[in-house]
Amino acid sequence: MSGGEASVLVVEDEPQMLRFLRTTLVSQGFQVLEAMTGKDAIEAVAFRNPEVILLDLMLPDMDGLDVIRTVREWSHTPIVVISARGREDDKILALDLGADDYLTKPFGTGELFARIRVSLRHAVKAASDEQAVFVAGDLTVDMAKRQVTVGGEGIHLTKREYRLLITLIKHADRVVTHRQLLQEVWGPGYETELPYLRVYVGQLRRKLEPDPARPRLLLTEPGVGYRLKAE
Amino acid sequence: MPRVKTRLSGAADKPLWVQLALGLVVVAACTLACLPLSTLFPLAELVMVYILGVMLASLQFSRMASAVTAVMCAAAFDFFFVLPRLSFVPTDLKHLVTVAGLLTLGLVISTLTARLLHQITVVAVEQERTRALLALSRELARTESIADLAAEAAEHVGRFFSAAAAVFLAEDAQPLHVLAAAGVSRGRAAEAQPQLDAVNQDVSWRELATRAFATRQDEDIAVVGAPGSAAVPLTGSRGNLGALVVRSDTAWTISAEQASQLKAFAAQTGLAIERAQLEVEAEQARVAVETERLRGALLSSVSHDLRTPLGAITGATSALLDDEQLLRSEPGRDLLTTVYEEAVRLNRLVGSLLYMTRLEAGAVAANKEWQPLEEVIGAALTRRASELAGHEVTVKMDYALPLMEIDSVLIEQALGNILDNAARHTPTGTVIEVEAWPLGRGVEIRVADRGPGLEPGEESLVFDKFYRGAEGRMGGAGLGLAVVRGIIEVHGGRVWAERREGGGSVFHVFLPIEANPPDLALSAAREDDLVEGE
Repeated sequence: MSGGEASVLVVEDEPQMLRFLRTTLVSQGFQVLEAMTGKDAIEAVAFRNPEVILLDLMLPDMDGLDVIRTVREWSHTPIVVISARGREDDKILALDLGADDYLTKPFGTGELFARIRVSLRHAVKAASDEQAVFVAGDLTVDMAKRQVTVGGEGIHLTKREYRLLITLIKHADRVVTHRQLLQEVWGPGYETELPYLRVYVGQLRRKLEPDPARPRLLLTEPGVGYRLKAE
Repeated sequence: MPRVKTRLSGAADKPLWVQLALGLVVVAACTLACLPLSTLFPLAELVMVYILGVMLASLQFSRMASAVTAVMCAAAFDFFFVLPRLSFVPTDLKHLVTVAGLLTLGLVISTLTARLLHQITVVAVEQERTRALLALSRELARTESIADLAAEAAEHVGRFFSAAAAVFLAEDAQPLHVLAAAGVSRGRAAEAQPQLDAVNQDVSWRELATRAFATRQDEDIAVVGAPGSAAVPLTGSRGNLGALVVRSDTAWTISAEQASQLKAFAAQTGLAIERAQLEVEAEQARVAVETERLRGALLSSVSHDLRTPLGAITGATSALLDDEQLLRSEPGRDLLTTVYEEAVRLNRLVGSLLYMTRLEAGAVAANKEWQPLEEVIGAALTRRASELAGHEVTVKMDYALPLMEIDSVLIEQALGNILDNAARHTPTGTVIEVEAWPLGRGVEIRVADRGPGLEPGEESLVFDKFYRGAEGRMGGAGLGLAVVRGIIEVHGGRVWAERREGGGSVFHVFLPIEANPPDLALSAAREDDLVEGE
């Protein structure tokens, strides 16, 4: 893919990681801005207006989570968090604070570009209208008619299942935390009712996926949430 | 101090004049009883009544009082019944013999009974002491920690002497210090700290303990301090371990028997504490040896397993850096593939090492939540998709499986490791079967493959740290399945492996369902209406 001169702010204090990100992003045509501290990162967001932020949570001067908190006070620029495996709690916190997605170290370039691409697309889409028909593989959801088909065949969904699906579609290709889903589908006060969510996702998989045990559409992000794969 | 009461010596504690008055009552009663009988029976028979009275009196009274009672009986008999009546001087010589006989018999009976009672008391005291020692040794035998041993000893000794007691101990790290005390402060007996504080505040406790601690082992006497207090050293086979101090509110002075009893308590406590100290030392030594051995194994294994991929990466990348042409050629791409694969391997190894370290340190607390198992199995299959790409994976499970209370991240890791293991040890193209079925109060997950299978006897070894199969390096660092076992054990489950009929092996994971799953049926029923337009 080509970055098309889109600007990416890379917030990373480790020189090796920074070099890897800079090299690959530049080679794909992105314009790369760099910050090695949280303070520099916030300044860069304010004055240089990047289109996507890649943010490592381990920074020398401040907690990456505080960077998200500060940036989100006045900016909607998509933030993709870079975190190590085994720190699921950090990821959830970052997402709940307003980060758009995360990358788990170590990651390949394929994953990196996919995350940036999705973030850019969502940033554009947020400005324009929501699409009326969503298509991913065999699945077609006509939001105007509230119709769900898989391979041309109509699928019966309960209201709750439908709302769950629509919420995931709204965030297509991005991870949605359990908490966000419970809040949007069940409403406030249900944030801790995880078993409900899991059972409904299971039901939805059985209706939409050919092999529910190996989902290709409704992916689980262990310990964090779910991701609807559209690409 | 121990007061032993025998059931018989009822009035022996009363003042002498009371006992004498009671003796008079006995004499009067005997005389009254004999009055109606005196016309029917000869004198010799009446004597029996008096003898009975003397016997009863000697059982109840002190030796002095019963002797006086015996004399009074003889006098009363002589006065009231021996002819001439109402006179002490008998007319007949044989009557004189009867009176003398009664007097002698009475005195002998009272003496013998008193001696018997004394012996009973001695035996009872002895018994009480033996019982107390036995009770203490029983408690000590079933107590393990040194602090608990000391507490038991203080408690028993305090109770035995009806006094306050404290156990002092001198250890390498700490000079003589109080370890346990009982009956010192008037607060609740169950609270140990106020007792210790009270001992620490009063220096006389420590002074006495220090003096006792300094005495030689074979001195069979107690060190005596202020009135009412005594101390003996806690003796062990390697010298004095500390001191045992007793303090009473009364101005008691320890008797020789009590001192030897205190010594016996101290010897018993000392032995028990010494035993516990030796056990602690042996345990520390064992742990040190085991730690050293594990560290050695870990270091050699880890350094080998970390260096191998690093070696490949360093070699491949240096070759690519040296020769610009190589980068764009087919062999160059092979080298890059090696670098990538080795880096992935390294990442997995580091991950396993971290998991293992955290599991062993007990730092992994399962964050259990109720969830369908199929989701976790699905996540494991998805995340290992590239490793499993060369195999055909079939999944069979009961979709009506109960919800499981598990940590999804950990169980996904465990299942992923088993799948990974199966993929790496079986030829490409073979089938890996994943199944999950209810089993008792839980669910069993089976991962079966058609690989070379396990060697006989290898079934449990594969879950040991750093164990590698016959083909060696293929198996990685030998940590993956050890991590699996750690994770499953955190969930109270079980994991085991079997050789499979027809070739290959089967890995079983049993996860128990310990609590009742939440009831989700209610909410589902409420919204079972269909979407419009369907």
